[in-house]
Amino acid sequence: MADGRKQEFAVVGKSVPRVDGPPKVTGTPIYTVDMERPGMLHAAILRSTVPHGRIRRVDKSRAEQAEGVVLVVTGEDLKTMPGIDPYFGPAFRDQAILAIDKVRYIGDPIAAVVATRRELAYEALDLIDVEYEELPPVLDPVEAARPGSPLVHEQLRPAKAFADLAEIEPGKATNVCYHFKLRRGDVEQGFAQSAHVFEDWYYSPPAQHMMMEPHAALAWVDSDGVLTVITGSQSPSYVKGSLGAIFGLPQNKVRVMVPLVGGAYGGKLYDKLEPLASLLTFMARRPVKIQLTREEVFITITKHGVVSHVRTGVSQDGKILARKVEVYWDTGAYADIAPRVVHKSGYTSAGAYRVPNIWIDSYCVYTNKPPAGAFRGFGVPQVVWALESQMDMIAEKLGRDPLQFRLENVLLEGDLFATGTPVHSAGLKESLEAVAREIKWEPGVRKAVKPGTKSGVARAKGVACGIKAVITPSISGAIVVMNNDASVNVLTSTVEMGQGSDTALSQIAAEELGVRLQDVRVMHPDTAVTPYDTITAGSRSTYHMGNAIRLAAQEVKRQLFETASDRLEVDPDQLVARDGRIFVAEAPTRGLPIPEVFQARFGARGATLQGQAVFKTYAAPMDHETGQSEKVTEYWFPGATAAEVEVDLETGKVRVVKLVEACDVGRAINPHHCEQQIIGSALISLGQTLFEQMILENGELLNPTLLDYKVLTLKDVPESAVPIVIEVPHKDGPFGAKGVGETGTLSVSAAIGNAVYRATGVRVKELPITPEKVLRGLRAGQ
Amino acid sequence: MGFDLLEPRTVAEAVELHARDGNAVFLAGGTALLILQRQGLPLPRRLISLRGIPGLDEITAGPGGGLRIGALATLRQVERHPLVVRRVPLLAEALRQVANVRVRHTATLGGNLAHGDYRLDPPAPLLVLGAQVRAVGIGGEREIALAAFFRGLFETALQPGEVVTELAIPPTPPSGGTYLKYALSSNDWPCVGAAALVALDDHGRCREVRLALTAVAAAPVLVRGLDELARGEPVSDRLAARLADIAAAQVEPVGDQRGSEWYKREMARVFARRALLAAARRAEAGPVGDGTKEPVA
Amino acid sequence: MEAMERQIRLTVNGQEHELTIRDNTLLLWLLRDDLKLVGTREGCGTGVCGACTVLLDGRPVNSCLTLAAQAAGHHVTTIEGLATNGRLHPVQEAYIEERGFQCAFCTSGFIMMTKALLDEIPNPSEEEVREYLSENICRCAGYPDILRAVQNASRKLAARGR
Repeated sequence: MADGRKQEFAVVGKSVPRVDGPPKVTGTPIYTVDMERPGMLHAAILRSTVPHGRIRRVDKSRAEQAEGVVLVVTGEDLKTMPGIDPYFGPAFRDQAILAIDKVRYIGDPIAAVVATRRELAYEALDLIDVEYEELPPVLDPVEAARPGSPLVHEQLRPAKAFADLAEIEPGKATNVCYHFKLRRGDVEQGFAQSAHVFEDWYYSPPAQHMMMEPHAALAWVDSDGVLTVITGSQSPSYVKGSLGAIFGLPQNKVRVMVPLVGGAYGGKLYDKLEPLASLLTFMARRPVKIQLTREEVFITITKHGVVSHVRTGVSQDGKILARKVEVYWDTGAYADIAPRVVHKSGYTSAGAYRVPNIWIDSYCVYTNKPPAGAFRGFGVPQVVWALESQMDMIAEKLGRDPLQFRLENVLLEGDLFATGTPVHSAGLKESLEAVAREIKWEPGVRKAVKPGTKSGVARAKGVACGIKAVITPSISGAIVVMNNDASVNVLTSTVEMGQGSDTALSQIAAEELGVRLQDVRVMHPDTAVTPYDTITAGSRSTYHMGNAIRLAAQEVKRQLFETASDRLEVDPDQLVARDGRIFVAEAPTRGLPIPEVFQARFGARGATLQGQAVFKTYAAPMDHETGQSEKVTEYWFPGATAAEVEVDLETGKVRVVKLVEACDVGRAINPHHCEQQIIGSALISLGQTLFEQMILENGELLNPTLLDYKVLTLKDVPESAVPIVIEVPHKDGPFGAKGVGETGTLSVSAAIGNAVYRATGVRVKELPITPEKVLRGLRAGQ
Repeated sequence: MGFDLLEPRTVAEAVELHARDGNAVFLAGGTALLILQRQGLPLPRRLISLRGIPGLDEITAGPGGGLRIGALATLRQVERHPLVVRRVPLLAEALRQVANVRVRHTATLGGNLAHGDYRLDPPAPLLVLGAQVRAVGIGGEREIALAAFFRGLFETALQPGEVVTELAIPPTPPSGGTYLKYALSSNDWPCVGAAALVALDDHGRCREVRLALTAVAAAPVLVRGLDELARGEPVSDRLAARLADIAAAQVEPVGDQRGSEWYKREMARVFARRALLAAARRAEAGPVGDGTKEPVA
Repeated sequence: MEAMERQIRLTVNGQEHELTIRDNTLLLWLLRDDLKLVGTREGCGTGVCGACTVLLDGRPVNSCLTLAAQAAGHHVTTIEGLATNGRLHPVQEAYIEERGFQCAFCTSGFIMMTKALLDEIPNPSEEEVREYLSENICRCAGYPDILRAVQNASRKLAARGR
């Protein structure tokens, strides 16, 4: 960042400390799991033990007699409840609060027990007897997509909850609940003109969000009949709407509050426990809390397992001429937000490069496995894994340096994306160059070294890049309230789940209003008072909510200027707000402290000024046959990774010695927080590259605890892990900012895979890159 | 499910309580048992806690050398005990690699052995140290060589109602030892664990070689027949490789998520060799054991 | 099948409590549900993630793998017991200064482990920190900041000791 720009702002662009520090280090009750209500009961969920079956009978009589048990509810009970539509889901209303007639995965909720203590509720689950008529399960997404496969869902009801999903219509009698198509140019002709054509299958396994705070919800009905739910949700506005639809309640009789959230990463979006907690509180007439065990969290929502087939044609001089991509998304028993994952990852499936001829088919497929939905990166990392692995294979065949090969083909400002959309503010080249510099990239083809027969290690570097688009259209509303002492309350439905939104949004409000950071408080979502926001996800909050807050703050400022201009006898447009004062830009001494402006305007203790704004983005309509759109997204976030690895040639074990991640953030509102996001997401991806995976057998998860599902810890962090903030400002971003929450996830796996190849000559195409896969490759190559 | 916790004050009382309810289970640190409960394994109606029994966690010098470790000593207590660090650093080295500090503060050495999980680390070093298990049952007290203690998957030589009370480690010859834990991520169970102890003669030739492997069979494996090949031989890569081949032939891995049967056997070979060489290097650098002068702490 | 109940006494953050518990009550439940000390949090329930770390007679343990009955007669310290007279403990200050937290669900556990580490090894090497904290999970992966927080806390405590 140039020095001149640094001085431009008082608060923005500075690594100010987090505003949520003290409660987070003192053990204060701040999360949903910490919340209580007088008379509160606890619920536990009985789950299916078969992957696919009809429910013949559920006998709950013994459980109803158990110690502390207040209530037992089954799907059968739901059928006869008046005024309740028990189905929910953001894309399709395919999931019932409790399974009705049929179970679709091992873990599908069948019944709920409400008891006076949590452990009593869980203990009573053992007393419920279930009889199933087992049905043949569908477990492989490619097979499940074939005609004639057993059906997971016999019929589908589109949800129409979001504009970008409004036109989804499922096919009939198929497990493919969504099929994304993109057609650009003439792909067959492109292949015909190609000097080389590459064709490979890749796989990325299902994985867990493993957010530290488990899913939880606490629901009760207020004395005036308002259904109130405290939940660790990333989408309070959606949940409000969904609960209204399920229980037939007017929207002002549903209130969703979200305190601080102990991690989410996409795993706490849309309906999770809120419908069940609400149902149970209506039935029990007392507050009901549900908090999942870790084992339950594992099967509640997952990251998609993905099978990709990539075919790429290139000219002898290294131009990509054609690319045909076929991707199968294993979405499990319920679609959740998967159609949007498939859509958004679908149109980025040709990669971050100029490709004239493209053909993409991306299939969202039901199977009898735990549901898959959003996960940090929203499907793009799985696709980038395939594309960027193949990029290195192409470069080698052409005898080119993989970095140079990328730089020559990578999308630049104004280039057309696969969708026909011109690219703006996409610092791909800058990101690639930055990681290459930091890792001291040595240009050259560097064919794979022949592994020696003696024990030892091989060392090499690898590089990769990726690009993702922000969800468009979407909406963020904000209300900015200024008190007469110049302190500010910002009302938004943005969820603070660790990403630092409370701090970044405070910085934006403080900057716009010319007050100190500590004068601003960002309030947490309470749908009774905070306005609509699409979701806190997809790296969208800084940009969208930031813009909404700026606009709302400008409205407050307009009113301050209005009053001050009378007093100071100048035009409002000559005024500025800074350091808690309103003053004449040309004559800074002529001004008023904000409290005096309030005094002049209201003369009343406790008076407030409000501004409100709704920031909405638009996409140009997309052609459903070709996937073409003049404007597919509001902004892009590109990133690049370089990794240096050491491979033990006797064991095949990969050690990442250095990991460098560069992401274009537009403008860093808080540089240190951007670095945290960049390196945090890169490190999580590092774990998923080397060892993390959900292992399923016949639909059963074999590693449902942290004893067997291993995630990255401090000891696995490379000696050197370097985040790089790239700033290519966006013309419409607040102070030029975009988003950064996911960028670091995109290309880590491929960079490591490429480094492993360059070190050993072993190309692993199925994640994770376990030592055994590498050793088998080494042995096969000898 | 709920259970009752019985808290006897003597070993005899504990054994007596078990005799009255054969389904009762002894509870030491409880870490493994509480995890099993969580995973839905039916727990017995009664747990007999051994933690209130005085004196069961003492660590003392054995007669004529060696060590005695009370079964209720926590892994952390053992790992940090000056006698252990000085006399059998191999054991301390291995314990430092078990789970995490919190678990090691709670889990006990006796409980660890009685659990009989094939992936545990402590059995490997204790096997090469020639440890003896002292157990008390309703019929009295007996000693079981650790080499005869592990019978199979979660199966030990303990009779129902028998309590491990003590572990005796005999004097060790001047030697070098090491424990190598090979895991796919930093805090995972081992794919394979290898403990080695190498004693050299005055000419630097092998006098005695001991090796034990964990996680590569239904029970920890004490490798047999190494001395026949090694005794009198100078330490070399070639010798270590041949010894490792013997080890690889004696393991019977069951494939798990940390490796297939093939991979585990390969890794047993690799880490057997590496452990033997590392132990030999330590023996050369400065052996420890009851025949050596103890370093000043 | 109901568990037996029993009376226990234990000291938590310097305060003595007498409670009736069921035999299978975990120390974690006792702290959160009975004493409302919710800063100790359940992440995994299997002793791996460290979010439920408390000090039992000064030593760190997983409260999710400790029976409340096992804590009877002992001293328990939780995150709520660190600040004195409204002043944050130096370890807490260090985590704030270095931003050693994001979502912070793991933070109580990290702070308790850091305290235990520095009580044992006042000036740990980076290697020792990585080893001691090897099974505390921060899923936001703020590990580089956590490492700095531990080192900062070590300096703070050393300065205070002088």
